[in-house]
Amino acid sequence: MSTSSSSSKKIVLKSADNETFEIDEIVALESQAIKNMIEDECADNVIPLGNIDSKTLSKIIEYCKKHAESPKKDDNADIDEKAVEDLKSFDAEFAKVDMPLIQDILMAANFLNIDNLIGLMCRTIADRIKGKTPEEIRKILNINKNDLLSPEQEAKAREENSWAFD
Amino acid sequence: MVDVHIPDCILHNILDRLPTKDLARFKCVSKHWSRLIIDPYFLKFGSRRMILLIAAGSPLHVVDPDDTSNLMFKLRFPFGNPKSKDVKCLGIFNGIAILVFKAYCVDNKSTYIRTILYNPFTAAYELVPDPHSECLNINHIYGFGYGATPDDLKIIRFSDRKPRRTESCRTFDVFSFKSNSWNRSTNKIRNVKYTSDVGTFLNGYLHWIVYKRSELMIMALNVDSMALSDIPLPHYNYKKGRLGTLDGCLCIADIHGTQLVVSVMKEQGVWSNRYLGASLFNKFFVVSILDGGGILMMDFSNKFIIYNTLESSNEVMKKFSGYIKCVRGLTGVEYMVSGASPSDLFAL
Repeated sequence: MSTSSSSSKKIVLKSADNETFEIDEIVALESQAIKNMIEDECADNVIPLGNIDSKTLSKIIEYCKKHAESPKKDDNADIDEKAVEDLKSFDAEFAKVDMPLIQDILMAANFLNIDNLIGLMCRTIADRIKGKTPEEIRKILNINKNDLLSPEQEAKAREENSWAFD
Repeated sequence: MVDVHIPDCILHNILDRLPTKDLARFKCVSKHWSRLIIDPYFLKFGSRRMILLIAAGSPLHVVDPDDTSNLMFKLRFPFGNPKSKDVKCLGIFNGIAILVFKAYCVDNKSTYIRTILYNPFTAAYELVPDPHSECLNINHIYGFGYGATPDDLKIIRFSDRKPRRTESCRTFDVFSFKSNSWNRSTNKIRNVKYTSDVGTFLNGYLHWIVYKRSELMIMALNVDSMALSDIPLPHYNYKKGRLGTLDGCLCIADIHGTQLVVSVMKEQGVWSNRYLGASLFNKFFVVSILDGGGILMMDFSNKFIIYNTLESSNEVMKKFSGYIKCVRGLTGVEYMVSGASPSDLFAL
C-alpha cells in the first residue's frame, strides 16, 4: 500500500522562513490546492508557501504523510479496522499541541485545502472550548480586544441568555 | 500566530460542533461571534432542535434533546412584567414562538392580554397588535396555522365561555400576519366544550378535541375556508390523551394502564393503535407529542422522559428532571433553533 519513496516524483515546499521540504508527490496531493496546481501544470519544482512557517509546515507534512500512506476508504470497501483505528489514534496524538499551533495548522490547512485536517483541527478547538465561559474563550483563542461587546451590550446579552450561564 | 482572524466558514465549522447552550453563551464572546452565531443560514444548516416547556404560572423552560447534561433551563420571560401568568404557546414557526399571556399593568391597574412573537434563542420579541377590547374575564381558545401556503399565517381566537342557550354557535376572530390585523370571521365556530385551549395544526387544518353531546371527538377547522368538520376518535378507552402530530399524521398519545398508547391517523378517519413500553409508564402522564417523533411524559416528581416512537427499540430517548412549579396546562413544543427575527413572520 505504501509508495516507494525512491522511485516516485518529488515536490519541494518552501516555508515562509525559507526552509525547504522535499516530499513525495503522493503526500503533496493530500492538499487539494497543491493537487490543482500540479494538474494545471502551474507548479514549478519548488512551491513557495509564503504564509506558512516551517514549524507548521513540518506538522502538516507529518499529517499528510500518514494519511497518504493509509488505505483510502474508496480504495477498498472493507479496509481493515486496524488501519482505521491506527489513523484515529494518530489523529488524536497529532492534535495534542498548544492552541497557537492548532490555529496555525488550521489556517494553513484551510489555505492548502486539506479537508480532513481542517475537520480535525475544528473538532479539537470545539472540544477545548466546550462548556467554557466567554472570558475563557477570549483567552484561549486570543480574541481581538477591539471586537468585544460594550459593557452595556454584554450585560444585556448575559441577561437574555441567562439560561445558558447556569 | 498573532491576532489571526479566523475566517467565518472555519468559525462556523467549529461552532457547528458545539451544543446549543454553548452557542447561546458564546454570543457574549465578541461582536464577531455574536453576529455569526445568530446568522440564520448557519443555524439552518445545523438543524438544532430544542423543546420549549410552557406551564401556567411557571417560567418558560428549554430542553436540548441532544445535550447530555439532562437538565432543563429557565428562560428569562421576554416581556418585562414578571407577574405575567397563564402563558400559552400557540405554536412555533421558523424558530419563533407565538405566546399569549395575561399581564398586569401597574400604571392603570388593569389586566390585559398580550400576544408576542418570541425567538427563544435570540431572545428577540415583537408584539402582535391586540384584538379589539374585550372583557378580560373570558378565557379564549386559540389556534395558529396557515392555509394553502405557509406565507399566510393566521391566529384564530374565540371565547371559551358558553354562549346563551339560544345561540348554537360562537363567533371567532382571525389575525392575519399578512395584513397585520384582526378580523371577525363571518363563519361561526361550534358551541361545544373544548378539552384544550390550543388547537393542533396539520395540513391546513386546526384540530381540537371537543365534547359534542357528551361524546368526545375531534373538530377540524379549515384555516383557508374556515369550514368545520368532525373526525371520530380512535376506539379505545380514551381518557386524557394529548393531541399532536407525529411523522406528518394526526396523533393521540395516552397512558392506558401501564402502557403508552399511540394512535396515528394515517388516512382520514382511520386510526391505527400501537401499544408501547409495557409496564414502563404507570407513573407517567403524557405532556405532549413532539414534532420529531418523541412523546414527552412526566411523573409527579417532576421527572420527564421522552419516548421515541419512530424507532422500534422500545427505548427512552431522553430522561431529564427539573422543577416546574405548576403542571396545569403543561405542554412541550419541539422546534428548530433559528436566528430569524420575530418580525419576519409578518413578511414571509
